[in-house]
Amino acid sequence: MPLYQSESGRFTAVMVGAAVMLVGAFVAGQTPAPATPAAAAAQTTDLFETRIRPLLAANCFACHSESAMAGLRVDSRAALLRGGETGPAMVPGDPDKSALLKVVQHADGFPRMPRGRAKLPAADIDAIAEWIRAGAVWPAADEAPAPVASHERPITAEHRGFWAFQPIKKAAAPAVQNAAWPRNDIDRFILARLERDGLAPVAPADKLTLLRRATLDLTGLPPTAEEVDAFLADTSADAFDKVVDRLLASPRYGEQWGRMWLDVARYGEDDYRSLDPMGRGFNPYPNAHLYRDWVIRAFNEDLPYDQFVTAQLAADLLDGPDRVRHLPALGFLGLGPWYYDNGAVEITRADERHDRVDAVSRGFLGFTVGCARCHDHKYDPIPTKDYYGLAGVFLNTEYTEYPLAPKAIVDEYKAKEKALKLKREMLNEYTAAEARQLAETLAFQSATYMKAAWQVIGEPKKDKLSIVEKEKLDYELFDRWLAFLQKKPVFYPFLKDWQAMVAKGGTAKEAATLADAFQDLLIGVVLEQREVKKENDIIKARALPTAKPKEPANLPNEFITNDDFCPGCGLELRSMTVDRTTLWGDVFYSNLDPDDAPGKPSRPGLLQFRGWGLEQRLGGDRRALIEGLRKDVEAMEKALPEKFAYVHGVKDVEKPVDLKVHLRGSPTRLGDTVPRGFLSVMSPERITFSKGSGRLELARAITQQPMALRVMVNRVWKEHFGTGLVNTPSNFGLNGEKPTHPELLDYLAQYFVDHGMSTKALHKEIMRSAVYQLGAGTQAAAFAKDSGNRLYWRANRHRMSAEQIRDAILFVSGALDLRVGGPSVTLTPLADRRTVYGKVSRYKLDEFLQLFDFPSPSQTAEHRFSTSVPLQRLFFMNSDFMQQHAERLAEQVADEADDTARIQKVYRKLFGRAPTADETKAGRDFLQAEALKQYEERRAKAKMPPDKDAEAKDDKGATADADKPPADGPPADGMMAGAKPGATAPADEKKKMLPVSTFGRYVKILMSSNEFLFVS
Amino acid sequence: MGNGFGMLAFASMIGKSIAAAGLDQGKPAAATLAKGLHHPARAKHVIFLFMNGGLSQVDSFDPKPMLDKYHGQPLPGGTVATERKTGALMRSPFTFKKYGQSGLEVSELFPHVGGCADDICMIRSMHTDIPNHEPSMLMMNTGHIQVGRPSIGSWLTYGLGTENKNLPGYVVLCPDVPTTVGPPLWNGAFLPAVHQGTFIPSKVERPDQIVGKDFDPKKLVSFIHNKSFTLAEQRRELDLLASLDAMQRGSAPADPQLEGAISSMETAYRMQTEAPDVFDIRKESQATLELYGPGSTARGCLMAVRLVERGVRMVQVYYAKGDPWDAFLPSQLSIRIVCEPSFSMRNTVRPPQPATTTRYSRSSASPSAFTEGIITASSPLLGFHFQITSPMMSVK
Repeated sequence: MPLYQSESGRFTAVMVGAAVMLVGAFVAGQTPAPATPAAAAAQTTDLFETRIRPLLAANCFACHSESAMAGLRVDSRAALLRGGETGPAMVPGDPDKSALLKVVQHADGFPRMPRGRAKLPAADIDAIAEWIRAGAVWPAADEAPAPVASHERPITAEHRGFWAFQPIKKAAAPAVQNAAWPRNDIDRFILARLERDGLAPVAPADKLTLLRRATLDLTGLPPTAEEVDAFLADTSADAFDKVVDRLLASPRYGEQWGRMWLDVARYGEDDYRSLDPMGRGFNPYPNAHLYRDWVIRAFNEDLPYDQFVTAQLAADLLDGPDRVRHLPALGFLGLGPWYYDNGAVEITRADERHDRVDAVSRGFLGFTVGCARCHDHKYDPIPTKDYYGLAGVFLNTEYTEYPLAPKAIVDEYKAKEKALKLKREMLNEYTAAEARQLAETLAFQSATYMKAAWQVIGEPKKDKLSIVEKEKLDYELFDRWLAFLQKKPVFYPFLKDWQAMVAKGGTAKEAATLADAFQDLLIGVVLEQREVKKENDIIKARALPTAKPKEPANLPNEFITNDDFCPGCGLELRSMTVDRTTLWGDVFYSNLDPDDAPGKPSRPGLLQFRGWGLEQRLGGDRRALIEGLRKDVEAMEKALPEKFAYVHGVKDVEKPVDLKVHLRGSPTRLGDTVPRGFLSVMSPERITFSKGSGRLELARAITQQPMALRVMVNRVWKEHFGTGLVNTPSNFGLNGEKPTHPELLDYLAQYFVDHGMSTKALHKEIMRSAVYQLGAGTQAAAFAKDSGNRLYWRANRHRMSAEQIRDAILFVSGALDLRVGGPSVTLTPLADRRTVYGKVSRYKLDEFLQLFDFPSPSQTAEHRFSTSVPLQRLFFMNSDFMQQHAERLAEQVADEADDTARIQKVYRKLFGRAPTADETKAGRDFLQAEALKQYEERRAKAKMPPDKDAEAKDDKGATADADKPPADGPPADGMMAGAKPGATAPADEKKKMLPVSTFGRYVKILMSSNEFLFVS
Repeated sequence: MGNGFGMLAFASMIGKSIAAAGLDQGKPAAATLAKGLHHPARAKHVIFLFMNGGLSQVDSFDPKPMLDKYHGQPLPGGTVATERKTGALMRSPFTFKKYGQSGLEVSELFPHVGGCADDICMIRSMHTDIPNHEPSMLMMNTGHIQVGRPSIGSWLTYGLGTENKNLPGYVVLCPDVPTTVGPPLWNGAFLPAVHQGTFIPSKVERPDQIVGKDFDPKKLVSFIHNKSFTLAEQRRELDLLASLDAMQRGSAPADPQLEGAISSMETAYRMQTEAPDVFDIRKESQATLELYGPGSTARGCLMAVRLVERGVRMVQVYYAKGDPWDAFLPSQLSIRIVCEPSFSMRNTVRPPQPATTTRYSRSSASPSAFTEGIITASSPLLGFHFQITSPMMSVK
């Protein structure tokens, strides 16, 4: 067998870092040699000019002049004095304190310079030492201004001249040769460009194709047969305009176009949580849908784009009714992703800010500001400072929840919730105290039980029951003792003597002595543990910054310091020795066994009783007390009303501060403070923010950018045509695409502004154009020159999106629920809400969505891929979803006279047209032959050996248990039921499922056809 | 997260990504990549054994003499900013020896691995800044401590494509999901969904076997086996669909998208019979099965080999939740320490090692083929909160 390449990778724990640090610590401890008197000759500039400058230029300037590696320049005296990230590079007069000398000496703990080259000759090193000792003279004429540690590349006029930053140009539509073709100015821009290349557009689409395209484009659903009829019958000049108006007025419009924005907004309804208190690994945002519904409503109500942007960044800072109306928009920031508990707080918070900078800059501005986190942007004029100016806005923006209920209801809920919590605590504390007291009391009976045990296991070998009765023992406790005394002495030696005694067959007297000794030991351990606890309580109390104990932190705004990760965990507490601690644990806490399988639920400690076991050992009055407390808790749980809805939003912190540049992106290495502000290149004088976090000012700055408008109109264009005029819709920078039609882009942006930033107006103008209404046909000359159709000489055919596929099938089967908004549902085979209302998990994305190229909700997405993979075909072939909805459509046509009539009706519903004669025949042939063939095959199979049959049966839900999601878990794999083993439909749905029929199979085939799945 | 089957059939759809990597589908990746490397790249496949909860590098492959020197003393220079407070340093209780011509230092725990020293490439420079399992596992798999970046296997298949169109390019074998962190570890994030790892459960029916009588490879593979239809029925459905698609197209010129949809249908049909075969470890000889030993990890390793033999680019074998986690044997002692209410033990960098020498042998997860190379779990936890080792192994 061949040898395979494998992968190796390991984390080096911090201990490694520790070893490295030792070196540094050592060197730092050395004392510098006293400076010698300066040599007169060296004070002249001769030494510098003849030796030092050439030396620096030859060995250092490559990295430490313009590019300032590690923040250090060595091309001026001031720069050396200022130094880099690790401090000053030089102390004039004191070579031994000068890092410049240390690095060329290759001293321990210093980087070895020049990097990657041989060590400098000793004479050169001596020269440097001599120069420093003499005061490091550097001719004044050469003094360059000292650069800042966070080196900044200046923004030049050339940078500012880049096309994307220019004001929108109002260009007149160009003249075209084929003056008959254009329907509006959009067409003139398109046609002029085509004509320049000697190309011409293909023929327009037929009316049916156009209606289907427009309906899917605007609503995500196919047209009904009636809509098709009406449009075909309408021969008026503005027939299509009327269709567009009707579609734009439909509530379905917001559901289709809102989803486009949700891709950009990285909309997710949960976050991965390493410290999820419920152990699920993620935390849902139960009211996330409020943001989703706000986006849908914003599109339906045609909210002007500037308000759309402002609401999502700063709705809480708006006035009056706008604030209330737009509060849910804050989900753009409030729904995270929040990373707070997934690492050290400094780092996770920086990562959160990075997400905001990235989503805001790419989403609204089409500018990749995120690239400037560690260094100035490599292509675009975005200095690191600009990044931290923006990140500063989000430093001062924290998570908060805005209740959407009157204050009285909120207060009542909170009061009841708090009371319930206190009561629960009371119950737990009381029970724990009783359990501890009982256990400690039982410790004083240890000798009794051990002596009794010896009577059973030792020589007398008496009957267990009789001993229990005779000695008046607790049966269960006695059982525990018998098991405990046989424990392997792995963790502590305390039972060794006893076990040796039993093994050799000791006497009752020996047993009694050992039993008494063990009881003494146990009591000693109890007492010591109490001591330790008292001491530790003091240590903890001293360490706590406030008198109030910390509540367990679980909301994104509650993690402030690393201590919140695990309050008190950093304290150095006292403990008993390991063996005594372990014994204490076994007896009073949790009795562990070396042979236990990992993950097995723990057993109570030897003397520890929980639940009913505890209560029955308590007196009647104390039992009644526990009972009473428990009943109270239960009653209060019942009385707690359903929690009011609230927005997952953000608010400004009380005292905003500016952020320091993170050198090379590291939050632990800080550079200069940067005032919160906007991007330098987009404002002649860098705009700084002063009101609170600056979110509102940021929103205003964004909406005034021509780039922001171009980005939005380009997104709309791309959704309609498949490709953008700039086909990198979230990157309009140097590394993105240049627009194929810059004048058209500006025309659309200006049109947008002129029409009150109305997205609907933009749709109308675009859809009215001849270019939108082109057919998907081809043309050899155009294909040869522009196979990618970037010049729009034809319509781009494309597969429906994940949402469109599912919604269209539900729609034609008659199952689709057309209500707008509301909490998200799990997508299962029979779930009937539109897909936009399905759960969107960042932790585990729904498999159906993923299969059909739904983007990752963890990062802003500029476009969807469109893949065609065999697994998608398996979904069409095998899933319960496809079969069930095919059966539903089959049911609708069952009453027709014959197969021919049924086929015709199905074609009209699915494709809006009648079948051809060939198509009808193919369908009829299948329906007639299939029933017979199926019957014969099944009969033949029934004659096969029985185990094969058993196997087939067994397949149903074979791995259902293994795949079972945790309760309240991420979406189940419901949509995959039938297509994937283990993915099953919910039980209540299974009951509603229709039996598989031949006509249903036929309908399923039609619903899997290219004509249905593709938009032409 | 089952998908990813049949990479090649849609290479035309995602051709951009492959073109961007400068590679033609089907052309050996190494030939193109070799330029610019100081040695020719020969690796075509990766088997990545992700032994979460494995023992610390200072006990296995990365001796730290300074720890001996500073044993019992606090961390010089104080606690690192991103760490929780720690107490004293602790040296490894194990001794190291140099092996092979390379002089690779290996712990006394792995004499047999030492024998292969010259075939092993050891990376000692990897680290994270985060003292926590989950972010570190994300870092290892995706290069970032937060969820949402493509995993290493996704990048590999994105860049290099796959060599077998009937199998996914990137397979993840794990006894159960969720493992620690779970799906985000093999997520394709912003890459096309097809590059995501395909999860295949590798849990054995019984811990003392590598394959039991109830084993059925068809049940492992997503989307492969239809419970309602026979293959003959499906064939006739597809034939009708193909003829209807052809009628609809009529005399129009071929559209690659529509053609792609039709051809992927054929691939899908074939996969239903062909794909389960690769997971059918019953087809291995008895001698091979014995060599691998019992347990889920052994099964995962054997399946991994079968997968790369058939051209799968990247296979990961994981431990699962419930497998020994973060524990040094006897693992219960560490559990005990975690459970200890005062957390007092957290204040030593590593709790004292038990004197027992029965360490590292658990029948359920130590395939003999790997010698002792695969340590089930044996990790001093606490204090330093992550020890993830994936000792590289050459299989077969």
